Amino acid sequence: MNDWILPLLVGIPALGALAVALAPAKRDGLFSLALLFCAAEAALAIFTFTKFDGTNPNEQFSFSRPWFALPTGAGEAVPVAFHLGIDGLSLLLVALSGLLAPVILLSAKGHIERREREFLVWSLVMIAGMQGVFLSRDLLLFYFFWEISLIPLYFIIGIWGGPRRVYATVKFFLYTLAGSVVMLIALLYLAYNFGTVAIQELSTKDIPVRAQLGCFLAFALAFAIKVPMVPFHTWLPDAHVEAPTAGSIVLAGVLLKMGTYGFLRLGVGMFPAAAVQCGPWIAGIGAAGIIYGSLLAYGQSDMKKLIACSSVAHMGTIVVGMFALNAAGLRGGILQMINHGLSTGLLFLLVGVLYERRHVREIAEFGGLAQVIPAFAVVLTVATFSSIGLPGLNGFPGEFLCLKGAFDASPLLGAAAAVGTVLGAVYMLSMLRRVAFGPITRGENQKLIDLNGREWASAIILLIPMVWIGLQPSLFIKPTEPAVDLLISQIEKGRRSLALENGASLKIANAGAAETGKSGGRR
Amino acid sequence: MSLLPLIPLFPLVGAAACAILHARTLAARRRDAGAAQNERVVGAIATLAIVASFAVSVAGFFIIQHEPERRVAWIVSNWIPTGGQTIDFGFVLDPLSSVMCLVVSGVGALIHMYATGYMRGDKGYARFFTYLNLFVAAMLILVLADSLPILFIGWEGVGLCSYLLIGFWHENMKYAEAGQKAFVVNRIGDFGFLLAMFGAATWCVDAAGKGSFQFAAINESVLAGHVEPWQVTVIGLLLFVGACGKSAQLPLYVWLPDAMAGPTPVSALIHAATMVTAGVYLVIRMHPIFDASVLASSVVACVGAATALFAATMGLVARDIKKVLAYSTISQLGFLFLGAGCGAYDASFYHLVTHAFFKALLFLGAGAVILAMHHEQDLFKMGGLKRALPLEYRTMFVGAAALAGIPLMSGFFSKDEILGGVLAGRPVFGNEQINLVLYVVGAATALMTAFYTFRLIYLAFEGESRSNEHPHANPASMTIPLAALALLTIAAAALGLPSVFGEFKPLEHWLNPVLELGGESGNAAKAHGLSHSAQWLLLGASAAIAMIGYSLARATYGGGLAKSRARAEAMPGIYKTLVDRWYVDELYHAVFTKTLRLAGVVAGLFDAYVVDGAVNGVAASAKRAAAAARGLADGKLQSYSLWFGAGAVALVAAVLLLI
Amino acid sequence: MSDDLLRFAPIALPIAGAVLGMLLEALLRKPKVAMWLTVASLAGSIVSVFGGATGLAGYGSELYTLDAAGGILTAGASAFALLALFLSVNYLKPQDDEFPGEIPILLALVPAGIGIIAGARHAMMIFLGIELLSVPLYALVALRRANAAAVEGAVKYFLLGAFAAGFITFGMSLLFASEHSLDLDALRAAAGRSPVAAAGTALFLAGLLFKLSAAPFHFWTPDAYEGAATPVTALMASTTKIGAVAGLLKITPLLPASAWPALAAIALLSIAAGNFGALLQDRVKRILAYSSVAHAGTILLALAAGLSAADPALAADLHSAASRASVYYLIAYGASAFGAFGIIAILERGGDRFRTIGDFRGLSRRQPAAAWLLTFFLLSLGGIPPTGGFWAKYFVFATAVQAGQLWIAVAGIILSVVGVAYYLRIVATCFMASEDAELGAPPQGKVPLPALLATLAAGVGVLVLGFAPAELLGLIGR
Repeated sequence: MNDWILPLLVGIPALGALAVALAPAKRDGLFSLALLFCAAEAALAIFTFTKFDGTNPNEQFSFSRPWFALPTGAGEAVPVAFHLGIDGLSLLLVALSGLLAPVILLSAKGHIERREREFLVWSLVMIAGMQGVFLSRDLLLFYFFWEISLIPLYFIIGIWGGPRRVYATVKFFLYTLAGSVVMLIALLYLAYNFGTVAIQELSTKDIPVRAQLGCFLAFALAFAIKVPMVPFHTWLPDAHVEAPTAGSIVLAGVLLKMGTYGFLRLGVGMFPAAAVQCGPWIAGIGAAGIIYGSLLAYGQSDMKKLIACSSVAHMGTIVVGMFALNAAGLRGGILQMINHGLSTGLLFLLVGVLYERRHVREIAEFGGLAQVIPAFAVVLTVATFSSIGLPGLNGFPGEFLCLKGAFDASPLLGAAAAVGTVLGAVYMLSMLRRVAFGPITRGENQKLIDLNGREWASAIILLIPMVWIGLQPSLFIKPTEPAVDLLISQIEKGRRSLALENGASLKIANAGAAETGKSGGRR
Repeated sequence: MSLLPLIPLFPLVGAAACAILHARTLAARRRDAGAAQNERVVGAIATLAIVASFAVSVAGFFIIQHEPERRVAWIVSNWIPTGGQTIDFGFVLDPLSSVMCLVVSGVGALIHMYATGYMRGDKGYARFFTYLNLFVAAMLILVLADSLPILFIGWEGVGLCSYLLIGFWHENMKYAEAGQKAFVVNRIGDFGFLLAMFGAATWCVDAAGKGSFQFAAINESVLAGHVEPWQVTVIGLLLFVGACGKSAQLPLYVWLPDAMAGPTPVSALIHAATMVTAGVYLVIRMHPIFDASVLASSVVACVGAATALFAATMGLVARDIKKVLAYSTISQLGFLFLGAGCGAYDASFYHLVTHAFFKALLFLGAGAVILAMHHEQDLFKMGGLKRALPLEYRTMFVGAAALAGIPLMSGFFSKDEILGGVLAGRPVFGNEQINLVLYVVGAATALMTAFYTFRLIYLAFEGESRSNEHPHANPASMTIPLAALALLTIAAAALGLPSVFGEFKPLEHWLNPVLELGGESGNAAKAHGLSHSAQWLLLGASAAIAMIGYSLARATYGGGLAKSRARAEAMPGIYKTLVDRWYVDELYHAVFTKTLRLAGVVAGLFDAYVVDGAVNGVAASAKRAAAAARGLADGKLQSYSLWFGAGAVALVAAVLLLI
Repeated sequence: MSDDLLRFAPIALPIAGAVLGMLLEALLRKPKVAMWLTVASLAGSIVSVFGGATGLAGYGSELYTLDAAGGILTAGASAFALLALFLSVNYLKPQDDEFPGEIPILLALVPAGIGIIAGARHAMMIFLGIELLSVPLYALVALRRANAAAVEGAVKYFLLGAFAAGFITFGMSLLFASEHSLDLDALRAAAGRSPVAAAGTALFLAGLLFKLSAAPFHFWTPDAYEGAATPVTALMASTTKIGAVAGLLKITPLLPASAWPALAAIALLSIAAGNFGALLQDRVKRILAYSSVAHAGTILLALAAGLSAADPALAADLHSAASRASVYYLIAYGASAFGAFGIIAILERGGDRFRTIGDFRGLSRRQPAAAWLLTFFLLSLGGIPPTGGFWAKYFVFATAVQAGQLWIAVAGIILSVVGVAYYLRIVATCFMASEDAELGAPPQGKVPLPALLATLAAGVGVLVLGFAPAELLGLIGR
């Protein structure tokens, strides 16, 4: 019975897309239809969260059907399965994607005035693709969904975006595609050398360290671009600035997490020795990204670009936490993925609210909004403080755990990453102040209208989990624990095999040295 | 004890109620339904919430007296499961937190009451009390916390409220900037705090090798010597960085003078009596770490002394009545750290309590003056208010006497205890000579303190009025707290009279379970002790210093501004430097703000031209390759055939080479 | 006897149809008759392939035996020719008087030639097949004889084709001189022993690579593709490569395994030349022509991988993997390319609009269905899931990885990302033109139903291949 949950999580939005594409209804009817599917998706995602057994480290609600077999010659074949499953690593992301589904539509209602049917279709396809990525337990299926999820956003940005939308969307598409194709080669390498593309099975194989390193780097490139990690990040601000609100929400909310999730599930999960080897470097780049992204954000005058750059910094925090490769960091990374999705999603939503009313996004165009639209200012303040990790809101436990993990890995890394907490306050509060406080400098802002019912609805969908996670983080961390512990044991395995490898090469080197010594002696 | 969570819960509920009322007010205002703001209801809810919290605190005070270790705890396990040292959501009421609760909720209740009058007619009335209640809740969480992360909740919570309240009148960009400055500078401190927290949890392990975030466990681990000395020092220094931010010490003090942008009750509550003492509280709470590290504690003492002196110099010339008090607060906080750094924790805490009373009193009095003067804050435009505001004058005089250390006032005894503690305390950097230097610095500060305090009193209340404004009387809701605080200021002396007056030291005895953690050596100042004659000598010196300061102020400002002008002109360089606050703000602006802004711009350019330039460069080179490819296809059959032939030859050659 | 009839049916039926059609056309002057005859004969050819014509031995089987993969190729070629016929029926209708009966006749001969190559067991048969495939195409390209571009394209195609035929015959003569046989099995057995034979094989390859439009033998492609009537372009894009690959699958094994880097180099060069060549083009058909060069390169990657193993057991494995991958690629690519040209043909309806990329501006608002379908086909060409094109790329690169050519695979796949850039450019023009931008030319008249059905059939094929890659794979592997 339960094994139908996951196909439905992918299927509901997919069917919704089909229904909207074919429905004869008029505009509002179409929107309601799509919203219905999104609501069902959100409900099912929450249902999945509640039904999930938080003590079980393995995948649950598995659904697996053979798809096809890739012959490798001599009568052997690599079976490829349509295999979906959920575990502690993906649980929160699946729930978040489901939860964001109605938000995406609600946020679009005010902006998307033309070609609504197309928009709804793409949004629904997008959600289906993302859920597919998070649920896939087969490497090839993962890749399949990974690439599919590029298309909807390409159209969403390209059709409903700003003036430079085509440049931004093509850049986004090609950049991320270029990163991910190499992953395909690594995937094929695994298939041929280890006879399987099932993620779980690959995780249990003893892949030689060198091969791990190669595959890890191939996968890491794809993920680093997706996250995005400095210096592969420049597509993100462009994409965000041009994207319509809904696109930004989905991009910041979930799409970037495909990268960090990939790092966890595939990078660390399948190639632990390589992850251990590269971990310090990647964490270091993450920390550099925190500082660099923060500085970039501080230099921005466009609200969306500022938040986009802050995303680079925040994703850096997640990467640092994850590649601390310890329990605290991994938990923090997982939780922070959700937190960033919620708070940055809300920030983009709010920028969208302003843009809808004023059609500008320059910070300098605003000021004193707290006097005109106090409810907006309150929500903006909450989102800001959530973003800079105020205790009591969601940002804190995630950031705290990431930094704690980083500190445990290396106090200097922890210190470098913690610089972000200072810089984050600087640029976020500067923006908040210049937008919401001070005198009203522009006449156009005098008559702004405060949040309406639809905007409140989408804000509240995000605010509730923000406060909830802030007050009771354990509820959200607990279910991930067994899976993280499993990952830790995997990392331990990686450490062992790495030590073994180093020991062996050391032995060889020693032997070699002894050999030369001998020959030297002979001479 | 299940009563424990009630202490912060009452203000939290109060804040929620005020928030709802504020939202209703806003909705009504939007519908143009007139000012539906019911100030009485809001004020009553907010004040009663704090009073209720105070009542529970009193109950808790009595309850813990009957507990074996004078402590009760309340823990909800597993707030954040970190995978290593799990963080529980826990409160502990012990002698230290109990006194802090009493002070916070007691002074808080009086200030709330005062604020109901002070804020009358403000359009953000309910919003103000939302923040104020929220602040008290956060402060109570801070003092009740049983572990560093829970303390950090309160720590950041008070920071948030401070931010919101400094920028309460957010229409004014300067005020909003001041709020931001406070938060950001505090964040710099929090950077140290966070790392200290991680270091403590990771390094301070018990015998079984397990770390913890809990104060008790960390202190125990340090006392048991399970931690490397350098690690203790690092933790101590990082903790002190956090404390410097919150308690406005050098070099992170710069936000506090600007914080005076907030409404005066805020200055009294947050920026004098409670929040800013959190850093000192933290040091006292974790004193085994500072006991164990000479370097860390010495840094605390020296920074404290330097801050005390430095801030006092700026207080000498400030014209804004609130700024004088702000510098005085920084200076007095420096005193607290000076004491704590020398191991005189009881003296430091004693002064913390008395300072809470008299500084709140002074601020509230200043607020009353400001309100009466129709929002005039310049001391040079006041004068002669004694007649119009007799109660304010009397109460403020009490506060000023306490601050200046006029003999027999509470401030006199508490300050003297600290100075005694410096002399008798643990040698700073292992060198007793430095203690002597620090004593002299403290004494000089005390002299200046007495001077600028009475300068304020003389400028505001004595002499002729220098203003055209006619002061109006303040409502009872404002004057009653003044009177109450004046009484408290006087009575607080009894909490810690020096031992020459007998061994009646209720506060010290009460705190012993906390302060004597680690035995006598932990309480260094007491361990050394001073002979009675030495104590008498010190008391005499303190009294003399205070009286000299008073006389100087009287001589300079007793007869108006003329003399002071003359003195200022006599030494223009020093005067200008002091008025311009040693140019520290300018220095910070040049060094940090501008550097950061420049870094932002440089990063932006680097990103656009180098990082993104590389990306676009790839695209551009693809286009160049494409142009080249197009150039090859010139449409001529001859060249097509040539390529064909060349290709075939190359293929044949390659195949022949490869076999 | 009946076996022999069945064995030759896949090639004999179209040839018979063409000959009969020619006679009837001459007698009756009714193009429709020739058309239906061709339809029947091509359908018969497909049916016969799946009805058991593959893998049979009998009379002349030392010259011609159709195996499973060859059967798929023949049937695929017949199917594409059939679809092209539907596409062309109404394409030239505006000039009804000109509607030439030779179209169906010429069309029918193309798959017949491919069938001969696919079943060839003798080098001469391959040459025969190539000529049978090429000559009708020269004529088809020149069909619009009033059109200068068409004539230019046809002349270039024809002359270079003759060039290629020369290389092939020269290569064959070298082979024969060295091995005294042109039997493919015998040649394969002797592979690598004689440099003369290797040189002969290389020359033969050059001719085939010309047909495949691999670089640097590809320069005719844009001119011919652009000049030809779009249905003919659709046919060329989808079928000529089938013929070329069918030949390559038989000729490459004559090379020694160590020669694989030469093929791989041509493969990468083709991908690069095709993709970079297309990047700055403004005419859509030229873009797709260059893209076909890149696709030719991708197929060559599989063939290079198939060649690369020296160990016989491994070589057999790799060769079958390579043939599986390339056959799959041909079908998936053919369907996608056919679909893309089909959409263009439908939009053009005989006119000369929709030539430059600008003509597609805002297509999604005017002809949403066409824009969506075109996008779908282009995504498939770009290898983006869920399309057949994705799996086609996947299997090719799988073969390369299986052969251990990791770095070549990486280079190839990164170069193919460049290709996505210009597909996206077309998509962006269709969908993302701003509201106030000037739209492209409006289409005229009704949508021709046969052409629409043909294009939709290609679309269904790409979609099915995208979600169920196993089915075709199973057929090839049988």
